[in-house]
Amino acid sequence: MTSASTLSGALPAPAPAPAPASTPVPWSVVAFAAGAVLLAMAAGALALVPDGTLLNGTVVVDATSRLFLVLIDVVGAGIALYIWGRLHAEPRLAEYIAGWVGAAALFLVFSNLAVLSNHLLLGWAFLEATTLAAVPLIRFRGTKASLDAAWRYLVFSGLGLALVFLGFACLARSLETAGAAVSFELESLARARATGDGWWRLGIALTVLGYGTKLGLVPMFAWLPDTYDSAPPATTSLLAAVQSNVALLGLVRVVQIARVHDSDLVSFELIALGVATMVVASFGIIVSTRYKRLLGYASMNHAGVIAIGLGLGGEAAYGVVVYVVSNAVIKAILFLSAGKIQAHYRSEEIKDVSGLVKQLPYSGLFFMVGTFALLGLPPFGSFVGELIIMSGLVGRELFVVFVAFAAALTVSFVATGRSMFPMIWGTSRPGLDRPRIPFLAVLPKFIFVALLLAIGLYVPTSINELFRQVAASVGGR
Amino acid sequence: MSLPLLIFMVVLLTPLVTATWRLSVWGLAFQGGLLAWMAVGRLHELSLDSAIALGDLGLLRGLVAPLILYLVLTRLGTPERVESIPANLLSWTMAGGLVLVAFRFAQQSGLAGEGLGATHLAVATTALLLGFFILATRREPLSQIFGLLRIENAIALFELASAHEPPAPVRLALSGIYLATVLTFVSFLVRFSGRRNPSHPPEEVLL
Repeated sequence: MTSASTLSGALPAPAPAPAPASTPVPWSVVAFAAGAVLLAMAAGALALVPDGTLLNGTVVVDATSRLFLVLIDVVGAGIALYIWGRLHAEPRLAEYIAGWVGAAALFLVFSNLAVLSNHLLLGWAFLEATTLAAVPLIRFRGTKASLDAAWRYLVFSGLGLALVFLGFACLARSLETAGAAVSFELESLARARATGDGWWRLGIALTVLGYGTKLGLVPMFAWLPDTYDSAPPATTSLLAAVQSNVALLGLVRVVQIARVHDSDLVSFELIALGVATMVVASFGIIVSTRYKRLLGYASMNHAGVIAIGLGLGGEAAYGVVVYVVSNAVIKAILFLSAGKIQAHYRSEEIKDVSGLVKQLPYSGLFFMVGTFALLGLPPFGSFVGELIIMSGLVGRELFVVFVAFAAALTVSFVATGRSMFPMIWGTSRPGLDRPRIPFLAVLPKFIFVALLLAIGLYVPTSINELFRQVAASVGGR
Repeated sequence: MSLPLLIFMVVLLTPLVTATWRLSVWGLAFQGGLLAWMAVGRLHELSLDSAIALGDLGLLRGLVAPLILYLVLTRLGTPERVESIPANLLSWTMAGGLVLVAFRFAQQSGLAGEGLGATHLAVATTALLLGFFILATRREPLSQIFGLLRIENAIALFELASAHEPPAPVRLALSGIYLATVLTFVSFLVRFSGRRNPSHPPEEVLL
């Protein structure tokens, strides 16, 4: 018996034939896709608005909000177009999709508001709102596993965000003790006469820990692999590429405020959390037998790299910005491709998927490119970002951290390659037809791959300047 | 220790040893009411911001959220006995230890000061630690809900020491989020009970 036939025997029935092209896509999906594309265009147009605040100081326009807004909206538009494509391929979804689309639309709107908020508390409230909007997206499949994962996600997120809120209360207490006016508007906080007393340090530490929970940093990471594994791939893409960046923006804002007064505040904490997360994630990658779970641990690994870079500041800050942008695109490519793979093979097990490049040429190609970028190979932006962060570690003479960083990267590289390369180049499974792929389903992934290559090979001057401004705001040079 | 803080401590500790969901819900309601009482005691003048804050504490946390939980749990026929922490001597000793830790922290950390007495800080820290303890020791969704809502109330108690009031729109947004969170919790209780299972796509129909 050949390995291919063994594989074939172990698998459920092949995917049903694609639907006729004439099947109409529900209006809710069309409206969602159109809205997401419009949001992406509006985010791009924000480049024309000068720095400052709008709407009576409610909205902040600066390099950081511009970058994160474009990032989440471009990815959001790609995911919306993917949903359109899925409805073409699987018209039976039409009966169930309205709820998902409604929650996803709310999720994107709240994400945008969180990024644009000039008030830390309001930004926090919008991030919490994205969490609540994500719950129905995660439990969409209605299985016991998805319900459990959604619950775990809600509990951990609630706990993490409660810690952030407690941190804000500590910051307010610190300002009051110092006799300063208490305001959570970004500029006021940056200008405040903080004394750096115990309350201030405690507040910053709690906010870092809380936002770290949303990013999947150790110690409160247990929700992430379960949720990414059990949620539909489109939901996972939203969580990994949109929500994690909104949470990261919250962390970046806190670091920006902390570093106005003390350039090294929370450096040690961020680096320690980052290294611990990378080590845990590497072990998780080794033992993963399901590809979405593996990608979940890889996301944790990336969060660890970002935390280390943010902790370092200096030269590494630019690397963090490049890495964050690349990462959002990589996750979108990989999770959306994983959705296509799951729909085709009817399995989430790594051992059941083989020969992607032959069986699913487009998705296989995207999965391959995404995996290369995930592993930090040149010429992708993730390679550039990791290299800059590593040079930052050497520059700061943190050789022990450097060794741990390099070791964790090597382990996750080998473990990821060992699992994913056979999926891409292994023997293809007989009996499964090549499905017809609607143009709309592959368009976003083509755009994502182009972006990914551009970040690594050539960044236009204006965008590079934007990257540098964001890096400078978190202590970069 | 002031009277409301003393009652708050009793309300924090009682549901841990009685292990019924009714008493836990009553405990949350009392916590909200006590928070509102303390807020009134610190009120210098009634403004829109302070009125919204009072509504958040007294109405939302003290009445609406516990009432929603009570009605849903009654309708679901939830068994009376729901442990907040494991009902054994070890857990009760650990809970007592956390109370001691909180009081020692408040006295020795040097963080207490004007507007935030050591006792106030100690009670808020106790509430926070006991909330974490519940989350760390129980896996049942209902117990975890009680743990999370206790943490929310602990933060509200800590905030009471601050003279800072967020602007009305921000406070309204925070209250809205609190209510939406409670409703989401309730939706999980209903689904976990198996009483209502909205239509989901068949397993072979993948998004």
